[in-house]
This record gives sequence, structure tokens and C-alpha cells, in this order.
Amino acid sequence: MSVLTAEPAAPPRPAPSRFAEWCLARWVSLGAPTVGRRVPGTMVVAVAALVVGIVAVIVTTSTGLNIAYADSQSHLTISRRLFDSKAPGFTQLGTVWLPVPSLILVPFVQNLWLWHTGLAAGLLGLVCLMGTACGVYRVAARIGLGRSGRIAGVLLIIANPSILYIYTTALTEPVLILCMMGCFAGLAHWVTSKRNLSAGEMMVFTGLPAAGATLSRYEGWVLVVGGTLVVLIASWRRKKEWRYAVKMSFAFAALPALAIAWWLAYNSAVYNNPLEFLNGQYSASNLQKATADAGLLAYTHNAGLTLWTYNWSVLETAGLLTVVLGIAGAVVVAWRWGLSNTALLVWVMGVAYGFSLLSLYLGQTHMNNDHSLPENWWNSRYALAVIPWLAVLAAAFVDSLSRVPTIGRGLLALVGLALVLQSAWWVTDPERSSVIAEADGYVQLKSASGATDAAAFLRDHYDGGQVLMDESAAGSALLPQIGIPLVDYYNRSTGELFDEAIASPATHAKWVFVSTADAPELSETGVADLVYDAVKKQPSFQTAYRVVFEEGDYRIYERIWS
Amino acid sequence: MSAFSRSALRVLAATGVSALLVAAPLAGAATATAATAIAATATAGARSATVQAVDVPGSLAAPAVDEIADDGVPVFVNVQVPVGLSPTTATATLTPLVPAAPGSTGVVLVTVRGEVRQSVDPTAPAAISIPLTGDDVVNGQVSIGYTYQPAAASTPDAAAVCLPPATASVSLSETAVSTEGQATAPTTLADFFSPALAAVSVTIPDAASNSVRQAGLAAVGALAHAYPAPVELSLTTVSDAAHAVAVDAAQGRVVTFAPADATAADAPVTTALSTDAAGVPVLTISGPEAALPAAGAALASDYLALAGASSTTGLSQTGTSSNGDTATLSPTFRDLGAGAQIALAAAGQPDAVVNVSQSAFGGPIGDASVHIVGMHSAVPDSIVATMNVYWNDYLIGSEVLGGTSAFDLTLPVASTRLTAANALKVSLSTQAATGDCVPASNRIPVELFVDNGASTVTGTRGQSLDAGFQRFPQALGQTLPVAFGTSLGDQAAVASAGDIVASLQRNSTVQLAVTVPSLEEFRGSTQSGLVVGATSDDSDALKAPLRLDAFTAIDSKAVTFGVGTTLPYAAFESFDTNGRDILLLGGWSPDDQSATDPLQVQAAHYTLTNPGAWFGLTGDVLVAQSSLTDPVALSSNAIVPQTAVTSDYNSYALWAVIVIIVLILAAAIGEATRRRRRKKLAAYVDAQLEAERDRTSNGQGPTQPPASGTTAD
Repeated sequence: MSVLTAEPAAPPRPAPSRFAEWCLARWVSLGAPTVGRRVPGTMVVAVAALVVGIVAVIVTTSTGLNIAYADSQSHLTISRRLFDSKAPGFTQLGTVWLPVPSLILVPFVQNLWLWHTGLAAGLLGLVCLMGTACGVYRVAARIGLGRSGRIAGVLLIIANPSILYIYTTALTEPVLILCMMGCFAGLAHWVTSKRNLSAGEMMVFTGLPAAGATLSRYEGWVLVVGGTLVVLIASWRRKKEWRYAVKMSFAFAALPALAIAWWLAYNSAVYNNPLEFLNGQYSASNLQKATADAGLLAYTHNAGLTLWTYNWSVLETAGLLTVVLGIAGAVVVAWRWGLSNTALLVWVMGVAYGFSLLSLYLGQTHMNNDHSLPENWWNSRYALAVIPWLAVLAAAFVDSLSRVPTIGRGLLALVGLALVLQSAWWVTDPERSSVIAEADGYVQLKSASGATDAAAFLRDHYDGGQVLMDESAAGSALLPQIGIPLVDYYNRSTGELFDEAIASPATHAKWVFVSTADAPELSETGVADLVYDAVKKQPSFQTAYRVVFEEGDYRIYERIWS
Repeated sequence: MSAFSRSALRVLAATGVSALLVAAPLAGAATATAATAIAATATAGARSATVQAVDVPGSLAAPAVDEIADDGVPVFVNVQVPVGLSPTTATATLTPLVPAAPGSTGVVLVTVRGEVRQSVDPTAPAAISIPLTGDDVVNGQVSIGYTYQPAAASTPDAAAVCLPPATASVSLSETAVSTEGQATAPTTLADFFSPALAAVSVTIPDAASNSVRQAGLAAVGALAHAYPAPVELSLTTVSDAAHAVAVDAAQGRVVTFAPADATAADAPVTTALSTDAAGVPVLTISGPEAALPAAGAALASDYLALAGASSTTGLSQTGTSSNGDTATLSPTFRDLGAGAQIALAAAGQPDAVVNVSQSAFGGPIGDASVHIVGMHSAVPDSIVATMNVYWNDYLIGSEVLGGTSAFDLTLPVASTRLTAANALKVSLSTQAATGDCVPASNRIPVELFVDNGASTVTGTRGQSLDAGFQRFPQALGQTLPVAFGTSLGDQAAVASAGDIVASLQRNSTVQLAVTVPSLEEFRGSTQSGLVVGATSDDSDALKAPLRLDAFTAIDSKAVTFGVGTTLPYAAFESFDTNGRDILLLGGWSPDDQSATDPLQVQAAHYTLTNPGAWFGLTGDVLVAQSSLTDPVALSSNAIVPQTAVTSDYNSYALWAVIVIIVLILAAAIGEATRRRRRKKLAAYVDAQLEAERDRTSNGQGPTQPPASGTTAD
């Protein structure tokens, strides 16, 4: 008789918790292949970006660093004065900057506190950060990169202090980059899709964000040119039909072209000059004319110095690791995809880099950093639009590392360690980011010039009675910092009302805020304080007003009779 | 330290208060450092006068004193009296600076050898005149003390420890000591360099070789090391009287080099004393050219005091001076010139300063830590005593004294706190535990001693300063190569080099070994050093921040509008290139290059004679123009980039081309690889199909599909 004995059963594994299962599912989704329009893992990336972005917003808003840039305060002001002004209306958009960043900020600046603290821009920035991170992720996924590549690309965005800082401000870069990444993600879908997407889909998923980019910053205009070229080539390769290629190219370019046409028409209608933004009084070329005439745009027509200056800005905003991985990724993309449609998509993401170099070379842009000639901090943020491109290139390189047999995991661990070290290096001194160093410089400059105290004084002492102030004067872009409703101001944006108030301050404003800074180039470039220029010539002004604040370059007068 | 000269001269800083154990202030220290040192010594018990004085015949001038505070601490003005002269009268002018509070006017006491010779009312300008005799000369000098006694201190029961900070002050100017008699000419080499010297002129032959120039520069460097300001120094060629300092028989000396002809290459160096037509003592150093630099360097030697004859042979010093031995990365306070100990007392001297020059470390340092070892007296329970340590007036450490008497602190100094010359201050403060004032009759008996032999400042080799003048002299280590360019004439080149070497040496705690390489050798070396008489090409080759060409300076106020120059100018620059720090003196003129000679001389002279001397130089460029009274200091960043500078960056465009080529190659190789793979695959499939067809045509069935895996389709 034989006795059958069963082997002792292995102890049952504890069932994973639902949370663990949920986490595992999210992890798996980050490496899952794309399915039609769906790119698994996008929500995970969005939430991660949101969490990091909230921390950044809290840090910069609580310290006031988010409104350090004068341009940031100007953008907040433009958005609010569309509805809060003595002369509200669409023309308050002006011509200095393209309108989309100001327009989409409008819902956020309805609340005076959100506007005053700059938190309004931070909320918009959260949306932009999520969109940018998702854009990088989706492009990486569309071109066939695995989980490690996708995650690396995203981390290089959301762990970058330059990006995180700028996205908490009202500067135009976040909106531009969001629109560009939206366009690239759409293009990536079209290029890699086995299904022939329709012209309508092309128009909605690529043309619309491209149009947003064209009305955000002028880098967007070059995006349209580059994107159209890619669509033309890829369409031809797909069907070898010119008709199809032209149709798809038109579908891509129609909305951006329309947007550009609208901008020209707007300038023509409001300023009687369709190129007012290019050659008008407040155009960038006029504002930097004095600098150019003084020979301080040293990189103009000097290719070597242009590359030196801009690349240092890229390095000091993107970080060494991002640049190194990006360059390695460029070689990988060239080797792996050559000039295929996939590669063309990646290469066209570099349009911002090419545009910036060309702009510097032609002397159209003013940029300085601590390696330029002369050394200074100025407009380093122009390098930010390059970072998503570098992130995608880096993702391609990391993906290739993950495919290396045997040591692939080790190499990935090294990249991860390098990323941690770079982040720690930044955390110990955020001013290693050139855009943050520049912001800190502005904070110190405003403090030293008296601007910070002047704004605080007016905020604390204003008890109604209207303010006469030239907020367009150099160093006087302080309206959000002051925090008084814009309807209480007579300033340049109020047009004829401003002229009337300058002619007779005492009958219009109880408070007069002036900058006494005086330099020839301020007048030449139109940023001298018009109020100060006027009142110092009016003998009656001194009898009607008394100085209640004076520090550095700033002076505040209060009308003697209330 | 030289026993015969420096100890005698540096007593200017510390005479009269034995407890004061500060290091000798670096001559002509930088404004900030000098201010620190002066402030520290003001509370310590004595101050030195730093403003240059000018003698008139029959009179010995003394430096002015900027401020004498009403703190009851004596300020001593020391006047060296040459042998053979006897003082008769001392005169000075006292001027109120900050008036005393009403009702609390004190008195300024003028003392000599502890005797009050005159009492002066400090509330109004007053002329001081006190009689002197030969007995007032002690150790070769007359020491006149000025003590501003505040009114409160004269009240016996005043709470001295709780006196309010001194507010009233006076200044002292036009101090002079009238003398009678005839100065005795030196009879030995040891006597030649008297402590009473006011000016030394070093001369070399016209059109001298590099060896003789090196000898002259070594001599002026040695003398600068031995004689702090205000002793005037110059190096000139024999025929250049214009740039030589004025010397007189009593307080002046001439050192001249007379190279022997080439046939006497093995002859020893000899020295001989004489007097010139004006009666000025002259030291003539003769010998082979190659041996003269070592003889020049020996003029700061400690052993010179042993030369007890009118003529000597074999005068020589090679390498660096004995002070060079202390150029370690961890000098003790004693090495730094602070004496054997620092003694602080609550009732007396409450603080002391140790000057810490980066040059004392034998090179630049990136960060430092201070290790202080010492003892303090027992602190009664009724007293709170605190020792504070400051680095350049920034608190780096503090300790409440009590418990054990010994203390041993290590205090790190952040790199951002480092300057070329630093002031380390140790301060003792005491107070009754109750917070009440303590009457003068019951002063707090706390004393604190720092063991200067065991206390150290440890530096880490590195660089914490931006490129510019303040990287010198420490960037030189212990050697100073001086190369001559061709933009300066012989006389101007020698005079300029002499001034710059003297200025650098006066701010280095180690004696610099001067060499004179050719410009080509210097360009090819990796050493930091000085170029005198640089041309535009030299400035290009060395990548100076201001190329010697037309330029436009940015007016800092106007931000972008500049002050341009197409007129002749001279520039003295300090910059780093390829990891070496370089000083460059040169000039540019649109037509006549010689027009820059006087400008270059002016710029060089300014480094020695401006109020802060070397440490008075700010930024990294000093520009002299005929339209300017004094040279102006600029930052090279405030100069509109010159074409020659921007052209240096052209090569970076090449890198962009290389990157593009690499990408194209990668794409081409990738494409070729893919094609080859496709071709192989196609051939494999074709072969499979061919085989399939063969099998089919031979009546065999199709091959079985593989059991697993994938196939190309």
C-alpha cells in the first residue's frame, strides 16, 4: 500500500493592496504603447507636474520673486487693464507684446489679490507646466521611446528650477512653450500614425496650438515655417502626391497664418502701421537701439560670439546634464532615424534654438549673461524654449541606453544619480539658474533704487483720490506690486486722459508717483518718466503738492488739499 | 624680519604700547583694510600715522593723524632722527573734527617720554609747539604722544567701563621736528640703511641688459620689502633725473649698480660707499651682470647688519628671503607678524588685530579657517565675559568665557569673506552680570591671552577673488617675472617697472624673487607676472580685457552711453588668461606711440603713490590720459567690447560646424547601416523564396513554419 503525500503548499503570497495595484498600473502605463489618440501615462505626468508646480508657486509667490521681472508685472497689468482701467478695452493689449499670454491670463486676474500677488500667473503657469511636461512625454511616447526615456524627458522639465521659476511668473515663455509642445505633440501623432489623419484633425491638433504660439512670441512664427516644411515633406513621403502634401501643409499653416494676419491688421487698425510691433516706438528694436548704437550687442554679426553667448544661457538655464544628454541624444537621433519623418519632427523642435541664434546674430535680440561681452544678466530666459527640445533628445539617448544589453540598467541608474546630483546642486543655490539669478538681481536693484519701498508706501498710504503715474517709465512697472485697482490711475495706457492729467495734475490726482532717473537714452527710447518731465516744469505743481516719499530714484507727491 | 630696519620702522605702528601686539600693517593697505587696521588700533591703544610727510631743510616731517578720539588712548607720532642731528622743537596743528558734547569738553595732552609737555583745548584749532632736546631721542626716534582725555574720564568716580562710546575727535597735521647739527654720513654698509631714511634712489646704467634691470628691480623690491611707506623709492637709469626721487644728505640714499665688463665674469660683487656732490651717501654695487640681481635682492637681508665695513665683497641673496620660509598654508599668528602673544584686558586693551595677507600663504587661498588657542583669567560669577572673533569686521566666532581657563576654537571663514589683505580681530568684552555699570575704582579684572605661536590661520589653496588687481601680489607666489615690451623707451620702462615692483612688494609679506625674462619667454610660460611696455599685439596675444586700441567706456550712470577715446592713453591691466594672472602696462596712440610714455609712467607711479597704494586699485583696468589729472580705475566689463576681443570668439563657430558634421556623419552611418541590414534581409528573403521555389519545382511540399519566433513578412 502506498501512501501518497502531498508536498507542503507554499505559503500564499499576500494579495497586493489596491493602492499598490493602482500604483503598479500607473507605472505600467508610463511604458505602454500609444493607442490612437490615447497616450497612456499622460495623467500621471500631469499630476506629477502639478504637484511640483504647486510647490514652486508657493515658494516664489511667498517671497515675491515671481514679480521680480518688470515684464512680469507689465503682463499682469496688461491683462487686468483690459477691464480695469479708465480706458478699458481690447486696445489695451498694446503692441509691445503678442496678445495670447495676456488674454489667457484675464480669467486669473479678475481677483485683485491674485493679481497683486502674482498668484494669478502662477495658476496659469501650473496649466502650462502640466501641458509642457505632458507634451514632452507624449512626443517621446509617439516616437517610440520606452518608459525610461519618457520619464527622463519629463524629469528634465519638472526638475528644472529655471522652468519652475518662469512658470510661476506672468512672462510669455510658459504660454509659448505650452503652445509649441502642443503643436509638436500633434505633429508627432500625425507623423507616427498609421492612419491618415484628416486635414481637419491636422488643423485642430497642430494648427491651433501653432496659432497660439504665433500670438505668444515671435519664435512661434518660425515654428510655423518649420512645421509646414515638415508636414510638406512627410505628406509627400506618405502618398507621393503634391496635392495631398499641399493640402496637409495648408491645414497646418492656415490658422497660424490667420493669426499673424490678424496681428498685422490689429497693428494697422490701432497704430496705422501694420509693422508697429517691429519698428514702432515701443518695439524691441527701438528700445534696444541705444544699446545697439553703443556697440553693446557685441555678438551682432559675430557667429562665434553669438554661439558663445546663447549657448552659455542655454547651459545656465537647462543645466549641464540636460545639455550633455541632449547633445548625445542628437547623435542618437541622427544615427537612429537620420532624416526620417520621426527625426524631422525632433529636429523641428529646435526651431527656437535656430531662431534665437539668428536673432542674436542679426542684432535683433539683446541678451547677456556672465560669459557674454559685457557681462550682465539680461534675457537669459530666451533660452528656455530650447529645454523641451533638449529633454526629448535626452529622452532618446536615455532610451538607447536602456537598450544596451547587460549594463543598460546600470547606465540608467547613473543617469538617475546624475539627475539627483544636478537637482541637489541647484537646490543648494537656485541662483545657479541664470533666470533666477537675473530675478534676484532685479529684486536687489529695485530695493536699492527705492522702487520697492515706493510701491509699499503708496500701497500703505493710498486712501483714494487717483494716482498720476507713468508706469511705462524705466523701472516703474510696479502696478501689481502697488496693488491699487488700475481704474484709479492716470497712466500712459489711458491715452488722452493721461495727457490731460499731466497738463493739470492737481485737478486730476491726489497722488503723483514719479521716477527721477534721468539719462539721455531713456528719452531716446521713450522710457523716460513723462510725469516727472512735465511736473518739474510746472511751478504750480510745487505749490499744490508736497513730497511724502523720497528714496533713491523715486518720489511720491501728495496733493496738499484733499 | 630684518633686525636692523623693519623692526625699527614698523614700530611706527606699535610704538609706545607694549601690550599691543598687532602685526605691522601692510604698508598702504587697501582702503577697507587700512580702515580696519586704523579702527582697531584706535581702540587698542596706539595708532600709526599713514599720510606721507615732506621734509624741509632743518626739519623732519611726520605723517598727519587723521583722527584722535576722546577715548583716553594715546596716539604716538614717531619721528626718526638721523644720527648727528638733535631735535629742538616739535610743532603741529590740532584741528577739531567732531566737537565734544556741551559741558563735557576734555583736553588733549601732548607727552614726550611720559612727560606732559603741553595741554591743548580740543574745541578750537590750536598750534602745538613743544621744546625738545637730544635726550628726547630714544632708539633713534622722538616719540610724541597725543591723548584726548574726555571730560568724564577726569572725574574720579565716573563709571569708566560704562563710558559712552567716544564721539569727539581731533586731527593732527603739519607735524615737524626742527633739528640742529649735521647728519653723519654712514661709514659702513650696516649704517647705510638708517631707520631715519625718507627716500632711496636706485639707479642702473642707461640701456642696461636684462640682468642689470633685474638687479635694479630686485634692489627696489628688497628696499620696498624693508621700508614701508612713506619712504620714497625709485628705480631709474642714470641719465633719468626726472623720474628719480629727491634725496638729501640727511635722510636720502642712492644705490647704484655698476656692472663689470664681460672679461670679469668671475669677479666677486663688491660694494663701496661714497657721497655725491650734494653730500648724499651713495652705495655702489659692482660686479658681473649675472651676479648683480642676487646682490640687489640682498639689500633686504637680515645679515646686512653684519656688514661693518665701508666696502664688502660677495653681497648676495638667492631664492627668497627668510620670510619665504613662512609661506606655508598654515602660518601662525606669530608668522603673520603679531608677536608672541595677544594680551587683552577688560580694563585696558579690549581688542587686537592680526593682519592676514594672502601673500603670507605663498599664493592665493580659496578659503580659510582660524584656530585660536589661549587662556583667560578666571571669570567671577558676577561678570559676563565674551571673546568675539571678527574677520574683516564680520563676526566669525564668539565664546562666553568661564569654566575652564583654556580655550581652543576653530572658526571657518567663508570664501566670500576673503580679500587680498584681511584683518582678524580678537575682542574681549565684559560686563557685570547684573548689567550695571562698574565704577572705575572697581574695574573688571578679566584678562585674555592668545598664544600666537600655537594659533594659526589655515588656508586652502584656491582663488576666491575675481580677476583684477586684488589678486596680486598673492597670485605671484614668491616670484615676480617682469617682461619688457617695446612700447616704452628705456628710461620710462625702467622707472615704470620699478614703481610697480615696489608697490607690489610693499603689499607682500614675502620678498618676491624678481626675474626678467624676455617677452617671448614670458608669453610661453605658465607663470603669473608683469609685462611693462606692452604693445597692441602683446595685449592681443595675452588676451587682455582691454586691447591696446581705440575703445569706448560705458558710463555707468548713463548705462549705455559711452565715453570714447581715440586719444593716446596708457592702461595698466590685471587679468587672468589660461589660468595665470597677468599685470600688463601698455599704451596706445593713433599715431605717435612715444606719446604714451609719460602716460604709462604716470599709471605705474599711481600704483605706488595713490592714497591706498596697491590696495587702492579697484577693478581690473587703470587708464591714464593727458586730459586726466589722475588715472581712472575701470572695470573691463564697463568697456564696449573691442573688435579685437570679439574676434577671439570666432573659433567657436567652428565648433558649431563640427557638431553639424558629427550629426551628418551619424545620420549617414546610421543610414548606411540600415541599408546594409535591409539588403542583407532582402537577400535572405530572396534566398528563402528561391529555395521555396526550388522545393516546389522539385515536387516537395512547402517548408514547415518554425515552431516559435517570428518571421519577416
